[in-house]
Amino acid sequence: MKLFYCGFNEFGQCPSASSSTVSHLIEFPLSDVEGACVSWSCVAVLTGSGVYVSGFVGGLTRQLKRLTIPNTQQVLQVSCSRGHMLVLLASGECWRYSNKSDSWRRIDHFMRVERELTHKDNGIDPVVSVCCGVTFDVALSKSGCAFVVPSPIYYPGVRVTQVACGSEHCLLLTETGQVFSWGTGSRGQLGHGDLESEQEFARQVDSLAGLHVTVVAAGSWHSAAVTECGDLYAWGWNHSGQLGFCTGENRVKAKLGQAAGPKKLKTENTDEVTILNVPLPVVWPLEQEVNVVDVSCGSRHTIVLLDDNTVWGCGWNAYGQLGISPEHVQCTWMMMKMELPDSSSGIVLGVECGAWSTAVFLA
Amino acid sequence: MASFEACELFSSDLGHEMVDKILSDIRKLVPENITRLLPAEELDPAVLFLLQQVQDTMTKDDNICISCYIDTATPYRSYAEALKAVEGVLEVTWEELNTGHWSKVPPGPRQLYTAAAIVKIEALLRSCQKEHADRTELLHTAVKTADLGILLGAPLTNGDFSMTRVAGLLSDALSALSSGSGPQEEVSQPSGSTESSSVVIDNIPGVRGLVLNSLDRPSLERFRASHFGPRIPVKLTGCITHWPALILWTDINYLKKVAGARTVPIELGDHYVHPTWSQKLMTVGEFIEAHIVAQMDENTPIGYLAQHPLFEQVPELMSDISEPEYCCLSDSLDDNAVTEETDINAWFGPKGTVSPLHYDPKHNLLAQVIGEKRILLYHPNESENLYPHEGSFLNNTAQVNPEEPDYKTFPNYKNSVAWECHLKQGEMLYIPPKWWHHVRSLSTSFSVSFWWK
Repeated sequence: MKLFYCGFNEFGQCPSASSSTVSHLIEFPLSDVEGACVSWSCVAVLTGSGVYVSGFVGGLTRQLKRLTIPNTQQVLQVSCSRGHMLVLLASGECWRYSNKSDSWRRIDHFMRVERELTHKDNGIDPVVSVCCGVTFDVALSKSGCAFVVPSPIYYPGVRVTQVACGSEHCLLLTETGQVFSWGTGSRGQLGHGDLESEQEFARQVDSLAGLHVTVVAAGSWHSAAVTECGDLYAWGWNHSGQLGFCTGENRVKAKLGQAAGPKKLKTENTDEVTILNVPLPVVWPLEQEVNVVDVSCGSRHTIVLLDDNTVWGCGWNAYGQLGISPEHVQCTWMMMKMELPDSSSGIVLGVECGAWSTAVFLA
Repeated sequence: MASFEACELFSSDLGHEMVDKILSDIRKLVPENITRLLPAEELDPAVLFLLQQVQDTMTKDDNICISCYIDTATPYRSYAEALKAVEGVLEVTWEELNTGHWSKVPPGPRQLYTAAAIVKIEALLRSCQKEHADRTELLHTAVKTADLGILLGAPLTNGDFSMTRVAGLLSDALSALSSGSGPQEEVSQPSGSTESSSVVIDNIPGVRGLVLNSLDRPSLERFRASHFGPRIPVKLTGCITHWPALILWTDINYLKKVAGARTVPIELGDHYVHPTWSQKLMTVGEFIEAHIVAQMDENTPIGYLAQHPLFEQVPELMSDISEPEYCCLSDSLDDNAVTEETDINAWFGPKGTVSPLHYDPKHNLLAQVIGEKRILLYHPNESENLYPHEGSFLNNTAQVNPEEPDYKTFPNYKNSVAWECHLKQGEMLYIPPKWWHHVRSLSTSFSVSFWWK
């Protein structure tokens, strides 16, 4: 598949664009893309011909380099954050690459914790998925055990099938479609109806319990989930409108400018969301019916793929991460449609947000 | 710091000259190679790289004509692009400052925020020298950047750069600019001042308390023996009558002149446990316009400059007040005990601001500079009658609202004993540690609180 990029480009994360802001999707100059992960300052791309990293790498800006993988093994998955990258090998080994020192280190110590707990397959329970965060990394083992590396945060009662990592919280999705959350809850990002943190074990998001969730995503301080019925739920901090709920920003500006009438202010007031500590379904403009299939969260934005092959976004757009010119829209809480590139066949296979940018995979 | 009161006499050109002088003074304060002053090992090298690149680019074209400057070898072709890049550094650092509890954010990222704010101010000042630059707008942005640096950042460990000084100079430059270009916008109030006429207090809803004792200028020893030691609240009169603030701050144009351009956090909404409560950053001038002098109706949210260390941010205002002597008293018997500095906070708002029933861990002297407040007080032993919120947030705040008592949900509340104090201009209230207090302003009010251990 092909990889397209928009958003923050101060470090040349997207080597085919020269400006620091990319406000429409541009094709990434690599072919045969199998997966990618985007961070604030770099992009890691898994292709048929190896793993590449672009942007700020090894103390230098505007890099595009092919990484030499330890043991020259086949790579299953890459995940990256600002400072490091995790690479999952076919053997089940997990390696950590440091951007700063340009060096590799094998992560195995969390495996031991895991073996003590599970004892499955004679103690072999390989990691099948990794997710780099800002303050911690999350890993998922074959038996469905979730880790905040290196400690387990979920025991396999029901298998975990997907993990997502925010800047200080993470989400787990089980094979029965249930959502669990762990970490800091100060901005409602855990969805438990309060602002408390969960530091021991992941706790189920009760208000989603009656639904079957298919995808979870975590932004810096917000969370999103897609249900089997194609609905999008969001919760957490609505700082820039990333939840898709009214931020009330316009009200405050109008107030300072003494422009809007008082009655209108009051009705708007009741719809405003600053922090949402329980998941609520997101409504599209004009209340149009939509079927959501995939979601990804950036630091302060949310990108959604619908079953009609359209891509939508809300939240912060200062760097064009919604695929819209920031001169027109600095941020939006109303879902806006992203223009897809003409050159592609048009079939969107997935979306993947970086901190301030968005990657779209096209067939 | 230079005074620019005389600027009104000057022509507009002289005003601009004055501004140029201040701006070059500020630029002399900006440290070179700013990222060398930061703890590199704690910070993301990408961010440091970006910040230094912006500063280097600007320094390089010192000797080049800005408007005709095109050099493809340097990364930034205009100050607009440099500004955009340094704003990226501020934004990403802001995200870091919002990760984890504020009290646990290490100094590294906060110093990085300060450094980035300095570079942004430098970029804005350089833009000021371009032809057709909107200097007023650029300077407003620069003051705001400096204030955010003060509010969110931390002082750099090396060098003697002071953001407070830069913010003061920028504010002076703005004054010079506006006095050079015509008369300053003055706020006229019905009474011409923030001074309040006598307040009718009988119509405050809810419970009333026993009248709190009052003392006129007690000696340090008397205050210690009868109130500080045994932890008994008291109203103190005659203690702050010498403060210049009692006269100066009644003129709202004085506050606008000294601090009008400065950005402060304003609490909006009924009070901090109300669902629609929020916090917004705005300038003191905007706050005064929108929340102090504006005609209020029921749809205008109440704005409150609450618990803000304004006197650290604007030291000029500190000379209008003084720390009461009583703040030197200490619970510690050890004379050599390290005494922390007293926290001095400003509380400025219209009639009707409410601080819900809560307690603080330190000794508190609340000095009333403008207007009047009603304070209800409860002994620390009353906690079980006041139903504190559960959980890690708000556990110092009561669920009962003395102004709308709900005896069904909180039956023990009727067993509580309240004390009541009406604090008028020039009076001061001593609130001992852990004493519950509920505060309502009965008029436009400016109070100063002193917290100490």
